[in-house]
Amino acid sequence: MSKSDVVVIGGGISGLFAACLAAKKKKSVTLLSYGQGALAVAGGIIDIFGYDQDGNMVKDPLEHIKTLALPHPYAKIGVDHVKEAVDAFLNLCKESNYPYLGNIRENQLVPTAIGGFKPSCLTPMSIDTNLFKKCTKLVVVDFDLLKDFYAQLIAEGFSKTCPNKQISTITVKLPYETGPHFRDVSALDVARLLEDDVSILNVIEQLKSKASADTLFIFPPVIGETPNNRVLNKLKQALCGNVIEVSAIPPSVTGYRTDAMLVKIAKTLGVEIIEKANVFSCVKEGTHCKKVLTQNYSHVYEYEADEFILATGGIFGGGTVAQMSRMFEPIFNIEIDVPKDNQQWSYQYLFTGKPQPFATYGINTDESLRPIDSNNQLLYDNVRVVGRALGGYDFCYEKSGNGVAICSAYHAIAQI
Amino acid sequence: MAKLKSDNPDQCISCNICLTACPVARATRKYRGPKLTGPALTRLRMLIEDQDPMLQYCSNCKNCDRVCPSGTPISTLNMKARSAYYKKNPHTLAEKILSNNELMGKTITSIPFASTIANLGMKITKAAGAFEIVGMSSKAPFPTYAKKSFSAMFKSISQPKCDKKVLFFPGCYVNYNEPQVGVDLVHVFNHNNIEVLIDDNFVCCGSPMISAGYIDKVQHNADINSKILASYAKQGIDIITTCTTCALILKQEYDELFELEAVKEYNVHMYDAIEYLLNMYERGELKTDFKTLNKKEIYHTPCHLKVQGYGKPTLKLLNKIPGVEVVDADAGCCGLSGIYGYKTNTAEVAAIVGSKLQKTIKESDAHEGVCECNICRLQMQNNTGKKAYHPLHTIRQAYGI
Ligand SMILES: Cc1cc2nc3c(=O)[nH]c(=O)nc-3n(C[C@H](O)[C@H](O)[C@H](O)COP(=O)(O)OP(=O)(O)OC[C@H]3O[C@@H](n4cnc5c(N)ncnc54)[C@H](O)[C@@H]3O)c2cc1C
Repeated sequence: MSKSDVVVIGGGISGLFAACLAAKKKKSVTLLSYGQGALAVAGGIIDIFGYDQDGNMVKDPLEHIKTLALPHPYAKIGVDHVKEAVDAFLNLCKESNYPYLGNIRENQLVPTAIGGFKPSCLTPMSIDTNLFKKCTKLVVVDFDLLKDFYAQLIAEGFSKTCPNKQISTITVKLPYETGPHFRDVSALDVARLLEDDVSILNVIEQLKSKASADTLFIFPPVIGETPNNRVLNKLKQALCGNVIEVSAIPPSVTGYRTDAMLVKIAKTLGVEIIEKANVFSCVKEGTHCKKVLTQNYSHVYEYEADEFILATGGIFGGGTVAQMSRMFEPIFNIEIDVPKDNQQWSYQYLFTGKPQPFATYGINTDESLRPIDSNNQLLYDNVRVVGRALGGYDFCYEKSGNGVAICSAYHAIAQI
Repeated sequence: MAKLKSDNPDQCISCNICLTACPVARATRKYRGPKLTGPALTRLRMLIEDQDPMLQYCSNCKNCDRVCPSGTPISTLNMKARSAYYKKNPHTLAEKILSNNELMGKTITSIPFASTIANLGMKITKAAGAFEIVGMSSKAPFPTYAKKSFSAMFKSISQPKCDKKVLFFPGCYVNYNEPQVGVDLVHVFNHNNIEVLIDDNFVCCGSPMISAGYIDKVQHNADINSKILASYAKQGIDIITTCTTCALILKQEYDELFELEAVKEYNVHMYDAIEYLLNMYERGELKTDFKTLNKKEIYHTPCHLKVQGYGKPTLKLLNKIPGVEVVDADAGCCGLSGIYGYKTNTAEVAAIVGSKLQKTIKESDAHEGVCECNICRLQMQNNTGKKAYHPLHTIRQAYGI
């Protein structure tokens, strides 16, 4: 049996960030994760708070967070820790040579895959939204054979959202073999190909005649797979600095890079990462968790620690389990307060812009993020819940997913 | 007992995270990728017959299973589909030859001088281009045969009588190609007052046959092995493996493929040799009379170990030996993945996949490579100028026995 200061359960953004922060505090950290987190699906931009409850875009996320009441996780975390968390995240990225842009006092307008914009707070360098303000001409870059990226649709979208800009598309050809014996080209394939200098030159060659100081090239998420901005910098050098990525369907290359960065940092800081570790139960004494247990097709493994961070996400990935009339967290066996009638979990009409009740379901905690029951009784004194596993917020409606993840991770680790 | 996800393609939520981790999809677009070839097409195969040639490109390395947040047995869905494909289509000659590893090994190591002749013969046939004719790659790093099988060597070791006994499942590679690994195991365990048992009735775990699409044949092996393993487990005897692939097949795939009840009786008693020793260390039971060795080793984690969910015991244990520094290569899959790296049609993919590991080892300032998996070690030695050993080799060296 191994013993560490901190055991983190879950390897999504909240778990990885918590592990890195704990390791920075010189704690010995073991991270147990059964499968990868949502980053590589969802993307690497960090929403802090995008829309208020009436659906209005929030200008200053920090100001808005001050107005939130319990049980919203931000209200538990507090403004100071939200600020410090964002700084800690920005510093970590910078130290890792993959800096993020943006600040907590301002939302940016991030371009979307249909030629619109959504508010978000922190973005990788490949999504520098200032370039949109600066450039009057937009060129949407398509890649021949690239699937599920619709340059024309994006261009049409931007012609509505940016009526004063001149918009065009261009298709880059890369030497891909074609035919029934080859898989469709994905953004990840192109991103990997562009890691090779000859391919970058090839792309530049096909675009440079259009480059100018006020022309912005809008790429699919293909600007390299490694979190180091090497490919981005080469493209920018050749294209007057005006290059930006938009998102596409999963796997998300931008999220994949951020995930790779966090894993790399965690390893460098000495976090022991145990992959495919299926945590299924815990051993406790009173309200004190002694150890958690994992098992695959094997004997049981025990991981002892002083502190536990529960970062297992929501329904995606199995962090919480929904059944008829019941929702619960399976490792610590925490009941989640939900209506007995499953019909009340959701609002009947999808895509009407209304929030869905089930989206806020998650583990209830005290202000230090330790789980409590429906009578506010503390369930565990050394377990802290972070990320999507928390209840009381609707990341999808308010656009706060990765923000709550990093801020709750920070708040949890600040206390241990 | 953990609730494990069953053999159900609908477990997959199409998040496509597996595509990011698949070394084959990274190396070639001839493979559709785990999600599509595995769960997505499995759903389709339930309705219509599917002849997808891309299926041959899955190497069963299980990196897809490792990163899947939903616990979908993606690679096993692929292997089942491949086996179904071969019910209607002929096997290649290479598949027939390579999946017969056990018979070849047994024959060659039981006849005096046969291994010398076979190893020489292999060189000559390779040089003469005969490998390519049957569909095997002449560039791949083939293993050589041992003069004497492990079970023959085992009989000549006189072990001390100990109260504590473990059963060792050597697997074909240790038995016929590198018996030294098994010999090291016996000495290291004996040094810690543990007697090692072997059972002559064990047969090949079946891994090469699974990859070659002969799942039906594997069922026979699974029946034999699982009965033997369960009978020892019932007596409270722990089971030790050194080959991470054998371990995975015995612990997990017999259950996934054949739903054998016996598996649950013995898989809770199964340990990788180094995992077992590390557990002893953590309980304060391992002898630590290590000599100072003064060497740097580069460690490669086999994919089939990563997916078993117990971390990297070798990295932890070897670093406890004075004078030994072990660094993690962290360079992905070796590419060979059993017979995959030896068949001409997939060998070139394997070579691309393995090139990062080879480069990392070659450029490292470590003196030698270290790795649990036998086949990975062949790739680690392939054009890298370095030797690669099973971690037991270093531990035995440190004990000076
Ligand atoms: C399609 C989509 C798009 C999104 N877009 C954005 C966006 O643009 N901006 C933004 O800020 N947010 C976005 N989000 C939200 C954001 O991705 C999530 O809120 C955030 O990733 C949650 O991180 P987490 O670490 O809490 O959970 P997860 O990333 O879900 O990680 C949980 C981890 O725990 C593991 N786990 C679960 N159970 C166990 C167990 N028993 N044992 C061991 N491990 C276990 C899982 O396998 C997983 O690795 C999006 C989400 C989705 C689904």
